Amino acid sequence: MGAVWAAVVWHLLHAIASCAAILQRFLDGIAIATGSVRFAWRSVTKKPRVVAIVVDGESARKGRDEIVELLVFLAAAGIRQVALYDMEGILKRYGTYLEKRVVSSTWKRQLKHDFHFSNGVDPFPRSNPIRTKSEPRMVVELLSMSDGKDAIAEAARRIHDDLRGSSRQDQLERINSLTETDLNESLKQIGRWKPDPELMLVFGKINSVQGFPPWRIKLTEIIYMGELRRNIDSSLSYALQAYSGRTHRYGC
Amino acid sequence: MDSHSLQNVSRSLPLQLDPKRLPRHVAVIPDGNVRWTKANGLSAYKGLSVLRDIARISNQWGIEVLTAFAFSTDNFKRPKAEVEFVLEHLDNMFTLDHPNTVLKDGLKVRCIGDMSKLPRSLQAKISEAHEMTRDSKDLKFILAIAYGGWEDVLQACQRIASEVEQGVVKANDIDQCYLRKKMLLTEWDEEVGDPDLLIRTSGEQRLSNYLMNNLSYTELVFTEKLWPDFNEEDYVKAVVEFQERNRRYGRHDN
Repeated sequence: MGAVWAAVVWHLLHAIASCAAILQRFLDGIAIATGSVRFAWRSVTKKPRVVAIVVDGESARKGRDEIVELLVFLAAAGIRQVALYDMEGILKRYGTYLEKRVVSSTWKRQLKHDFHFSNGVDPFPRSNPIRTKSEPRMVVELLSMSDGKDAIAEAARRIHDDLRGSSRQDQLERINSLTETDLNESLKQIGRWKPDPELMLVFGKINSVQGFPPWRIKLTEIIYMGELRRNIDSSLSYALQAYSGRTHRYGC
Repeated sequence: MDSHSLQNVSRSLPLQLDPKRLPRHVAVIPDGNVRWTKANGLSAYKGLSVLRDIARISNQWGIEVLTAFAFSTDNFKRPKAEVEFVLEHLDNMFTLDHPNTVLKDGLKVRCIGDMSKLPRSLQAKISEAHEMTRDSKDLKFILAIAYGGWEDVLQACQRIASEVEQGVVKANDIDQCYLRKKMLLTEWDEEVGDPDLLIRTSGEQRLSNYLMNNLSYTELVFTEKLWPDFNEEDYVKAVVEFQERNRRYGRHDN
């Protein structure tokens, strides 16, 4: 009889925990969608070091000010690296503009930060001198489809290029013994090997990775943020809080 | 009523679903089996039978392709007893006379992954299943077994390097489209295409090395339910969410 009661209590506790998790997620969703709940991001215990931001084409075209606001927030939150992605490469064309606005905005907010923008491979010309070495630094990569799936094709061509000059026998042996390490090395050689983001925030009309470099997001937590809008601090705080609170299980 | 009769029963699409905006290709990551089994006992395991049910439902709704991440390369790192348990249940799916077989539903069954990692008996059954269901015109039911997304990309690169070496293709002609033709998902049937919708259960919001090169335009829907508890109602909700996004914002074309 005691065992029966124990089983009943256990299942009841399990059900309560499940309902609490569902309610938490429900509230996460409302807060992210409405931006109406304020959380102190400073209380976040586990922050991602690298964050990926994926925006759709319309957001990239019309939401530059919102993107500046987003980057300033992430810098203030202590994020070290941001991979900012739109499929068509629109943001790459506005890289210098974004950098100037971000630097100007951080000065106005008296946030002492150094920023380093790059277009995924090469850095942009610096528009501001490095202030001091002790200031926190955030690297912003501007990425597009050419840095994603197109890069894999480029790596595949490079693998073949590395085989040229060898005998046919050697080439066949080498091809058959290729490993993931070789593929990763090939991506490094073309400048595409960068740290994996722990967190991806997707803005826009669709919740899709939209061609973001797939080898970098195998274990990345993906949070759909809805449409890009102004005064986004609350939603971002909530997303960081949600990321921090999640238990990550690996080995699907 | 046997499974064939059930298959042929007229079953209208749930009212909540718009037949004009059904996803053509659905992918699932059926996560949460371990947690569910720990809570309910090993003897109650039903992860793969739920997968079979979802395949039947997909076929009845008119969805053309269902791709399931049944067993990843990373799963081989789990305790041996657990791996053997799952492989045994997978074996049952491809055994014609077993109650959990998928071979009597009229579906076109295909497995993608590194088959050499599987027991020989299972490899043989999978080959037979491919042959047995080859001519089916119903749902293409693809099970990713011993599959890893990045390993898939690697095998595609190996094949391309080999083809360039043999003079089948020039190195400069290798692009994203050519790479795609060598990926396991589309290599056996180009009409399969990339998934329109990916559903992952158990609350995890990651892609976990699944179909890494095929999900660029795939709408992602995450649900808290553990996979064995995922039922038709949950499936409807996920497809409704997909349709709502597409309705509001216009379908995104590949």
